[in-house]
Amino acid sequence: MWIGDAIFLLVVIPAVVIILRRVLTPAVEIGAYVEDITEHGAQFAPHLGALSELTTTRDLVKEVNADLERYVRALERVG
Amino acid sequence: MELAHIVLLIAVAIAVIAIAGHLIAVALILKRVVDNLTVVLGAVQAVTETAQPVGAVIDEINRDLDSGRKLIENGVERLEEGRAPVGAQAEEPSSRHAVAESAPDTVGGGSGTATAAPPAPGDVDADRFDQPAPERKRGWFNRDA
Repeated sequence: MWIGDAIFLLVVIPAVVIILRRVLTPAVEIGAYVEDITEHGAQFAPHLGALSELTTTRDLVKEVNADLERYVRALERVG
Repeated sequence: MELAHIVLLIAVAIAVIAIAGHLIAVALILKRVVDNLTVVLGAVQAVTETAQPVGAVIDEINRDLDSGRKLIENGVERLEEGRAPVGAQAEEPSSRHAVAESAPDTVGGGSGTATAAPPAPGDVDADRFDQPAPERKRGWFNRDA
């Protein structure tokens, strides 16, 4: 009986602890990586706020085109 | 109960506590991971919704810029064609325009200004008239025209 207790205490429990450590260590690393992703990935959206200005750019380009055609026609009249 | 049984029970309790502690730690880490991934997923969805119409807008801007560039090129070509008889005068003094250039009745020295008498159509003008008229009905600004 004492031999079984000794084996359990000196072999089984350390083996279980080692195996659980091998599960826990990657889990901790995954948690750190995910926190890093959250910290940097969640800042993605504010940096894309300028994309809404593209519609203004599009409208301005249309206006420039219209004025450009007037300018070219005026130049042709002058020339 | 013998002492060996008590030691065995204590050892089993230690093992169970160790397993439970590690599993609880793993569960807490996974819960935190799920929360963070939910935040990241929301941010990615927001980015996707924000960037979804950008391609069409950029395409439209590129089309407008391209049509503006062609407009400028055509205008410059037409202006250069309009100036071509003046260059032809310098290169071909024996042409019919040389007479108009030497005439003193023009304000700008007779170099083809608006006040000069219009020269008769020469070879250069004939070539110019033979060319097809530049297409003006291009671009979005002529859709309603």
